[in-house]
Amino acid sequence: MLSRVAENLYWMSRYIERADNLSRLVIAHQNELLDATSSLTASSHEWHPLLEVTSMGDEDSKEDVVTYMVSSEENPDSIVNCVFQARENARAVRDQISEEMWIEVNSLWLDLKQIDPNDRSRHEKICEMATRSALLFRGIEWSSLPRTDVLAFVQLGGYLERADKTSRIVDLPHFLPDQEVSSAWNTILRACSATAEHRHRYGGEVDAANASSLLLFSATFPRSVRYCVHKVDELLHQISGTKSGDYLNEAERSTGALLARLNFSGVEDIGRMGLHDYVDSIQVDLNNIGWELAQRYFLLRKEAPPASAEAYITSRMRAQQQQQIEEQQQQ
Amino acid sequence: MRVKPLLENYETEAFFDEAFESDSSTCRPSYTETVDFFRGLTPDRMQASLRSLERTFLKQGVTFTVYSDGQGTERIFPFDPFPRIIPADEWSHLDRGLRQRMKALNMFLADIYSDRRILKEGIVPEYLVKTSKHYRAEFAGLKLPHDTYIHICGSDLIRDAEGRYCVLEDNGRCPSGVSYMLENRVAMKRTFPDLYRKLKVERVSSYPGELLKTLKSVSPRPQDEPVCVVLSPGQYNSAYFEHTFLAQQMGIEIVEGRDLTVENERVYMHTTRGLVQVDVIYRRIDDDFLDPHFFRADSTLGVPDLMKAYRAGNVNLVNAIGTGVADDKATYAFVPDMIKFYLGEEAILPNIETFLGSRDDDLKYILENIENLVIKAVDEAGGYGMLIGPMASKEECADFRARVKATPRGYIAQPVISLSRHPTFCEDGIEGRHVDLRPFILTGEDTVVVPGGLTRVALTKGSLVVNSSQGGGSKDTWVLRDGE
Repeated sequence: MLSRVAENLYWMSRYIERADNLSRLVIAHQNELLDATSSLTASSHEWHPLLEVTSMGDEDSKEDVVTYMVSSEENPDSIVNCVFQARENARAVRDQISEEMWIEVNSLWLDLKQIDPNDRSRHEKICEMATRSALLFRGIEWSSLPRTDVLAFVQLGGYLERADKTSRIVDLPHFLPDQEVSSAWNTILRACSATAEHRHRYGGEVDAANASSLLLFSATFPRSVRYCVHKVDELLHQISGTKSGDYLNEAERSTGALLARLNFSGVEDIGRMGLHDYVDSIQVDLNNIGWELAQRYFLLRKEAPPASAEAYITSRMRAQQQQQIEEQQQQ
Repeated sequence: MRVKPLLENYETEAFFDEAFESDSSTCRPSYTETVDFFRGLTPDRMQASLRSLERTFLKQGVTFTVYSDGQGTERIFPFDPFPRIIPADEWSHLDRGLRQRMKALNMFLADIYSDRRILKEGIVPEYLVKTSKHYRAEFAGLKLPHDTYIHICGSDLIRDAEGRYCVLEDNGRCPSGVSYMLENRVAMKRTFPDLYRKLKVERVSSYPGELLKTLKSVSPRPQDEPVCVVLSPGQYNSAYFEHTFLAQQMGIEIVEGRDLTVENERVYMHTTRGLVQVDVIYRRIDDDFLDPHFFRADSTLGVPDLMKAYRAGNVNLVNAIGTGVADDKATYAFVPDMIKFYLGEEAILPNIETFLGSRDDDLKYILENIENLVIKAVDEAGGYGMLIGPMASKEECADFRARVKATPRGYIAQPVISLSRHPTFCEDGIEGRHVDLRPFILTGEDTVVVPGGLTRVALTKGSLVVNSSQGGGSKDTWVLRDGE
């Protein structure tokens, strides 16, 4: 498979997952705010923790945080921009993915553009559509993609992004005032579609230790960090043909190390470090894995590769713009 | 309330109409079933079919990009569901004419890049070739597989007031539009299956297979299973949909310049499992952007040192470098002479009478009659750099007169040909609109003309410009099977 194709498949899937997780988080948070305050118009500061949790910035100047997160064009990671990026990446590999998958991603983008900007429930609509479409996307992925590197790179992007987002969402309490921390766990579970699973395992009362244990360490819950890292480990080995437990490249080594840590950890380990520092260390590892696999599979070209993960992301954006410019010259 | 049936007051006016005789009511034999079919449809049903067609095209991303607004907006290529029908005998005439033309054009290119016989004998003026913007003297002497330069050609045909098919121009660089021919067919079969079945139409779906066969046949390593790729400028190109469509249909990789690398005068693509050598590149990038070490240094679309590999004969390009001389609009004027010179035959498909700015008598005529002529820049395409005298203002005519005077070699002129018209769905029912026809000719070891083509239609009333960038649309083209 072409390196660029692998890269596009991976990012298409990451952006779909990102849009999905942000949508769930926005809806869950809004739902919690409805209970907490009597007023429908949540004031801006109540949304700021979400900006911090998703690393979209913490500037107080952002008037309308919800718009910024959901549909702003300035925010490269807004839900609408994530869908746009997913679609651009899909478009670049539409000969590799199934017709159904392309039509789903393209339709989501076209449908989002159709929503009236003055519609008062616009944000809810965008979030619901993105989440629903992401579910469809995973279904189409499972039932229509060949069991080759095509599926492997799509899943790799999906699981890596999901691990990152779950770990961030779990960190929400860190950014909240003390009195809101206990109720935040409802939002967290809901944003990770884990409410029912938590109830099933631990009964009705939501408990921080149980909830974080479920979302970080469960071996069976499909959105838990451990499960996602386990899948990433499996997929990397499948792609390279290395046997499990062994490693052939840095990405496999880092993943194996992180997986071992998650496999043999429990809430007591969180207690020692504190939840925030613990998930922070997980995120550092996840970023490393992403950067290492990009170096191993995507950045094999002659020109000097970008020096860091951040430079890599910017260089992808710049390449896009450069192509657009030259295209206009050619016409 | 009485719903007005479609085609009730159809008027051919003074034009040659594809479907009706000049009395506006007698239907040509090949159109009988189709006209009856559309007469039987209510406008409402027709509107519903049109809407569903449009939605399908957009969802599937069958689009092109227009950059005039600076942002690059995706549009669907407007599609008209009234099919253009070509009877079998007419098609076999076109088929013979196009093959003859392709043969002569390829012999011409092989000649001017080697022995230059046609120039030495003064059939084609040498300065015309030398001054052609796309002439690549530095590639002279290169031996190409099967001596083929233009592997893929899209020649534009029109019909004059008498219904005679003529060649308007030859697109021998990177002709586009073939994916629309294929997608239009899929859409038409889905929307009007009964009509389609009744008419016994030649299939066009063989095109991707024939194209792949053509690519493989010109590989520098024909004994092995050649690795062929489509080289695209990337997803922001207006024809990107077509590039992926063709790659997918042929089952080969679509690559961008950054996916390729040249080592030891060989071309490789970067895969997740290492480098893989490439034999044939179907490139959808103009010469100028192909290799920053050789052509434009600022291009990032191309592949550094690609020309070294090409010259060493380790990779073949489709179409070859330097074919642009043949689609220079001044060279066009000499194609009938080339046919005579190389093949000893008369041209089966005539040219349009052409006046060359570079010929003194012609230049005088052009300057004196600019209001009655069509003026074209020799190296422009897509309906750009063009003046239609009778429809232009005084200022526009004066502007072009000055341009022609300044660089006579850069312009040609032709009489205004009133393209044939074809029934087309418009705001107020079905009306006649001007059309042309772009069939696609493939040449590798053999020459293949897929029976069909892209019929382009000028949707604006009275307009003669059919280009998609200028308000044109397309129709499916149905070539009828012989003896049926």
